[in-house]
Amino acid sequence: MTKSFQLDIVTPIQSFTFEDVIHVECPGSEGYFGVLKNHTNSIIDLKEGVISVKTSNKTIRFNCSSGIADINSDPSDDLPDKVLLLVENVEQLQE
Amino acid sequence: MANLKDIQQRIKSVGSIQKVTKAMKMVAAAKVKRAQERMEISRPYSKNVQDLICRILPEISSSNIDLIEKRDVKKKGFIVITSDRGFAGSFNSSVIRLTEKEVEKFGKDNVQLFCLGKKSSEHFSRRNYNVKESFYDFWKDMNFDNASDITEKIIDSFINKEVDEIHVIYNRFRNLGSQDLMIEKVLPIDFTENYNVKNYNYDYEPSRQSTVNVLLPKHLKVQMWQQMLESYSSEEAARMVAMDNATENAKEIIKELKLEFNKARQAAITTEMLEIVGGAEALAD
Repeated sequence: MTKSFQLDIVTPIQSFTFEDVIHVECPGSEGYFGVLKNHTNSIIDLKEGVISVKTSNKTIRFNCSSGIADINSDPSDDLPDKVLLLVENVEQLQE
Repeated sequence: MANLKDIQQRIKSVGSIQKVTKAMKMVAAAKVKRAQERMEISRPYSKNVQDLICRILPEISSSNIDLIEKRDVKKKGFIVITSDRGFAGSFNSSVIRLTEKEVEKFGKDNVQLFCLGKKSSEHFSRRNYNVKESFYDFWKDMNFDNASDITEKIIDSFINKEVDEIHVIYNRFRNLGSQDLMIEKVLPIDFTENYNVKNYNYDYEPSRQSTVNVLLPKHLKVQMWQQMLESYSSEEAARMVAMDNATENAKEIIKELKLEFNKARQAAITTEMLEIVGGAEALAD
């Protein structure tokens, strides 16, 4: 079974979509948290910090402003199986 | 009949005006395209924020959320979106006229105005309307932070109960040739029509209430951003049409002036020839 999931980082001025994310780490309002495939459905407040996106072949990091993470993995609901990060500003960090 | 030099000078100056209006038309067309692209980019964010709110709001008590609290409307606020510059046909005047009409309905003393753009700000300040805030000089380098700052001031005004309801008046872009004059309620936010009542099983961190409190201002900010972009696209489209008309008019004027110039030239030549012929006949006699 595939262990990857889709991640969308959406801001009012740009969007990023990753199809094969294995792990993403986000700055939650109560501390950093990680998301893997089949994470519990959650809505989590984000604070300013760094988002790390690990795909099958690389890790990409972003600076982000505060926002919301919408994690949908439950196959029983009618929502797409993906992780959505809604933030006002995001900036890719150069590695 | 005007003399040849005067006509030539007028042709030259109308020609210069024509060049300027043509350039302004092209600049406006490029700006419309850019604003349209930015509007397109902001849509997924706006849609996702709204979807999320509609999923969460039905599950919590609305009495604790300031931004959806409905009150008796004793004072109204209007966000009036115009431009900083003219040369855009009836773009500004139509917004100003509708605002005046709406203010009249509710009474000048019971209305606060939030003016975006120099045109509305100057118009209403000069006529002693209650202008609570004015925002201008940002259109040229407009970004999301402008929309964010403006929205925060508007939210403060609503939360501090300075106004009980806020509406926005602006031009919505329909196509290059036309705009729709819009009036929409901004606050209190009302999503009841779009509620998604299916019970999704979520874990919230830190709490459902806190998530809503984060999401609602975000929703208002992106709404404001989109309305600003709609207005900006409409402004540039209106300017494009106005400048196109001006270019056509200049073309017509140049055509008429050239005709007049040729007639004057012809008349001068005829007069000169008559003088020569007259002179030659006098010599022959």
